[in-house]
Amino acid sequence: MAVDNDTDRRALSDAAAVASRTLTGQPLVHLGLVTAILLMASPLLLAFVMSTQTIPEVYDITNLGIGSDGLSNYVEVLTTYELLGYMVNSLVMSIVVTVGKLAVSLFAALALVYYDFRFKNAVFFLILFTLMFPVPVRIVPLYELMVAWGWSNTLLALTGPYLASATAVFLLRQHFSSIPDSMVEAARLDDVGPLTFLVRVLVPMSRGMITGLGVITFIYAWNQYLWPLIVISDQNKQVVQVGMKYLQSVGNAGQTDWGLIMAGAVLTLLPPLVALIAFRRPLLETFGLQT
Amino acid sequence: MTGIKLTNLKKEFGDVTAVNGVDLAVHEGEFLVLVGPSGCGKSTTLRLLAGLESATSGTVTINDSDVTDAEPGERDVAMVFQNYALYPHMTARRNMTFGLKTATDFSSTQVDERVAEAAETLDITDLLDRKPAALSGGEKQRVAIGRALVRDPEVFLMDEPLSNLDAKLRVQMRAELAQLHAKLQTTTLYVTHDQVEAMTLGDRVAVMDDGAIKQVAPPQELYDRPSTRFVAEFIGSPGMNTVGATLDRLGDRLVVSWADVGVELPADDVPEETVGERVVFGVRPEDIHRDPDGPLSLSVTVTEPLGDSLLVRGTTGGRELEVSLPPRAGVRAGDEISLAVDGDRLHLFDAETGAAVYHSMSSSAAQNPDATEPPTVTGQ
Repeated sequence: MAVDNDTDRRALSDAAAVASRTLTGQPLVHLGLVTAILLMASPLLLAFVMSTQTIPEVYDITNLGIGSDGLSNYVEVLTTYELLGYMVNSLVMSIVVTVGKLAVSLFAALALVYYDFRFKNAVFFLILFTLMFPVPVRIVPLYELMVAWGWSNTLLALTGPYLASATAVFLLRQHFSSIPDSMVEAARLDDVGPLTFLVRVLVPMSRGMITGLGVITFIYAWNQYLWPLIVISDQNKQVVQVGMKYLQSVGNAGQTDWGLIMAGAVLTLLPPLVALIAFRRPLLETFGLQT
Repeated sequence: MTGIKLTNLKKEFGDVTAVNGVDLAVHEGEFLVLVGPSGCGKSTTLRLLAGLESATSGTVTINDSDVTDAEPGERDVAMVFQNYALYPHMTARRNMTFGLKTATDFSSTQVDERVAEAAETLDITDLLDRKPAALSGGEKQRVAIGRALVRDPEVFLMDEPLSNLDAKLRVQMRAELAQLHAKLQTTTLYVTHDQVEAMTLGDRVAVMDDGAIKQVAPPQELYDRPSTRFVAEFIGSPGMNTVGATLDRLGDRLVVSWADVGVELPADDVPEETVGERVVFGVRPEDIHRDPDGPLSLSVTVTEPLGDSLLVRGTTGGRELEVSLPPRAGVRAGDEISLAVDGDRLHLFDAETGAAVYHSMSSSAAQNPDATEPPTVTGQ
């Protein structure tokens, strides 16, 4: 088996070497790549196809063409089933989480890099330690806390638990540490205060990192399902991922209206997609720094 | 009035003593260079002065006011960093003016005037709207100096500002810095590890080693009359040859000898108590010349043609010696050559402490007429 693996790997690397030399002359390589892309894109493509189909068309699995419903599923899901309202709720939540998380993380990283205080490393490791307690793990005590504070069913409860992020603090701390000390020393010699330094020097110098983090956070917040499901009880305050769930009960004669759900899914996908496309460069920078 | 005064300044980082009791006075308007090998504490001394480090003990005085515990921003100093420390997202102009409002009480028009003036002085007027990424190393350095200039500080602190430049540009900027100081007459403390920079720029040069200042003197005096063996070996390119030897009196002649080699000293003011003792004999490579009847016989191991001279390395009496000969001297590795030393340019150091005990150059010839104050020597 190990031997097989080895030869496979060698064959692969050989193929890669040949491919890079004579890419145009390798139709097999192209075929492989196209297949891989189609495979990865298939859920998205199927969702789009189904979103245009009527219920009978969806249940006929050999029917993979554009359906006869056209865009009516989209119109219906936005109007009759108020997906637009859920999307607005999601947008508000995502923006609050993104801005709040970035602000909290920026201050935390500023403190961790530019201030001397006792047990600084211990504090930093404690923050990293929280990586092992994501929101789903804390969900029961968090819910009790929200109820005790009277926050349940509010935006505070929806966004609060996401504001502190060990990942963001870690990435920003590493980024700040890579900025030469002489920058802050030059500022200290001019009596520039820490907040001015943060806003005028650190933030502009970390623009790529902050934007990248912002995009990741936005998508992460947009995709939250479990916590909103638990902490929000009013349907009109609910976010879009849970709103999608409500669509599942819609349908005729026990048949789920997948066309409707897929239309909702495609619409739900758009804001993160726009964010990804708009900010792809800074996002790459963020990941570049991680490796 | 004294520009800068450091008194018994100490800085410890945990178990490491970086600066160990430095006393140094920089006169108002003086350009003083702090030079020493890596890790000698020179940069730490500068940072203590700037307030970027806090002193373990001792005091820092700038223009007669004690700033030992003052924040960096309260000290009215401007610093030029080795890596320029320019903010990459700001234009050269913004770099020069950022922080100026908090650091000084100039009005906006004054700021504009000062930037224009500094840019004029440094010949960077055309570059003011560029960002650092669009500037060359030398241009960045000018902007960094400009940033210090517009602050009109009491003291300029420069931390190896030229070491990131290429050799040619370094020589050019060195000359410009000297001109700039001649024009502005601002008290300047300049840190470098490059002894050529130290010699060419400094009104006086302080040589530092192991956290302590070994000698403070005008450049020529430092070269002619080094106060310790360390200074002798550090200053000069290459540094002074030093050889462990014995000093003996043969009749009315004084002779320094090691192995089978003997060099005669001019028998003037050699301290009597050193006669018959172990000493360290010092002579600069450029004070040795070829002489068929000379007392030194050198087996050449390496030759380095420098164009204007030929540097020859070899052994004599089992000791390494470097000699600077005229170019085209036709010496090759493996040759045996006879050499003589310049009798006026010999030095003796104490074998134990390394302190200078004798310079054969008459003291009147070595005194720099501009040196009004005796050199401050500490750390011994």
